[in-house]
Amino acid sequence: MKRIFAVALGILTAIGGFVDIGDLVTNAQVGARFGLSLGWVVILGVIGICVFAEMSGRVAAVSGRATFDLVRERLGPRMAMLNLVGSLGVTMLTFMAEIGGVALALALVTSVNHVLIVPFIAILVWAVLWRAKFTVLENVLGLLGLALIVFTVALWQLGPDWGALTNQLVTVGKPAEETWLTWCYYGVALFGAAMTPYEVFFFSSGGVEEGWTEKSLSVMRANVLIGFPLGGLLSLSIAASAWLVLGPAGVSVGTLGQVALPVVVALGKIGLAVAIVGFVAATFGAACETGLSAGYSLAQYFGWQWGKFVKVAEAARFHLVLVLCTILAIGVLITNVDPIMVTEVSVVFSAVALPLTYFPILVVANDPDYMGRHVNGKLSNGLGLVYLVVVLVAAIAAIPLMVLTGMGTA
Amino acid sequence: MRSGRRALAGVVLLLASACSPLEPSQPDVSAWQTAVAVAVEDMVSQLSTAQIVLREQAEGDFIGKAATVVLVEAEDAAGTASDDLTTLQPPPGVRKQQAAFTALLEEAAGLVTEARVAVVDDDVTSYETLRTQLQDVKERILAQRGDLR
Repeated sequence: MKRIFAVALGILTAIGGFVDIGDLVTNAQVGARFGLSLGWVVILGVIGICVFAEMSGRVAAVSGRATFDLVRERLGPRMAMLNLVGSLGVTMLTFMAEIGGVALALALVTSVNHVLIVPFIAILVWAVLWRAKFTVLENVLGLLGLALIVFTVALWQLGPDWGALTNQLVTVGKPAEETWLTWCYYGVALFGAAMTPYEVFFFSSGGVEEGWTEKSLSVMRANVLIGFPLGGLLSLSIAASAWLVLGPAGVSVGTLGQVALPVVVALGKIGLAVAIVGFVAATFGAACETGLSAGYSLAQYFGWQWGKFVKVAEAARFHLVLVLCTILAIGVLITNVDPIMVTEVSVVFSAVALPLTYFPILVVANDPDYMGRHVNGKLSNGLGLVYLVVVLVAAIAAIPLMVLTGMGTA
Repeated sequence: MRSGRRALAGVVLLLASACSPLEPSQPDVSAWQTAVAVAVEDMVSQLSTAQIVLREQAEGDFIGKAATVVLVEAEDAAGTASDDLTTLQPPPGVRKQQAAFTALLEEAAGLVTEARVAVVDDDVTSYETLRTQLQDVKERILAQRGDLR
């Protein structure tokens, strides 16, 4: 019974924790402009994150060490430094975007300028990272994030032509007024939003925090292989409801308020209240995860004691990194930079940094010295290699597409 | 957000301006048409947002100050779209069209402001008229853009 509860809880938190500010904004933007014609990218991204999260979770469970912990040892300091710089930069951008996202969600109901809310949210995130237990943090925020199911309910309530939506999803096409270049740009952005680098750092380090062993593999796999795809359905619901409500009106999504409009139209006041709870939980949860990921990657690279499973004094440098990241995020966000723009930039640079994150995971998961009998099988390797090619293509195309399309405005 | 992207573009332009005399941007006809298309798309987006907010606010579908916040953001973005076109140096031969677009976008931005004022004042009786006006100016903007093609 306890095991069933653990699996169920893990799956629910994986669903609730899947969506972050990048998924919210990018799916709504893409949905409003392209409908579900880029939905296949979400599916591709979800399968990819399942493949790599399973690998990194397996590495953590079998070796008792997080992925980044092994990167330096296995690939050497230079390669690991390149990995560190790339992934830490993107993780910091995402951290700022998430804190800004919480502030925007709260600004929506309070009408207080989000810049004034940012310092309080950032300090609250830091306080939670400092004091809250890892499992409480993961479970409470993950479960509250399930409130975003309101987008699926809204989609149902809007009564779409399911056949037309399915047709959009399974055929390669775009609205006549859009260019293929813009279509490709948003495809890469969606892919970057679905496969954010911090997710695997957090997942593998979280596995070590929770003391995973080989016995935990089945629960971990259930969380990944059931929870993440269901989380992906939330992303598709956001895109589809944006297409139905915002697409015909010609609304191009640029604010969190516009992301929520389909729910307002379909479900009114209660729907909006639930959506805002979901926004806050999803972005606050992701802010905690990205903050921790920044600390994990730095501490693991330099060989410092890390994690919330040890006393604060024992992992002082890890906690100092969390403080510095929080200060940096506040410093950037109070310049009145638009958190939505930070989000847009972060998902594109996520795509750029993807190979740096996923190549080492593939290498370590293939190493029998670390993995023993749990080394990658043919299926894992086949999928891993296919995805390595996909992430390389996305990484190479991301910046040229961003420039050529003026970040999707062309 | 388009205004956010413009902020990013603004930083690049600021750096570029350090190396060039202080002059308004002088696009060729093709670049001007692109700038108009972007401004029109932005404005249509904000007009539609305001229409949806007025309709849903009339039905009591927003909580707290959410309707006001969404409209304030739409107002900001509409103002930016209008300003971007106004401050553009039109290439010779399109000055008349530039003036027509500028006037339409200013009128549209003004209507979004009126919508925000009405929601803050809770003037529910004016919502329907405002929605009609928003639709009317949106159609005129789109018709004007159609003439451009």
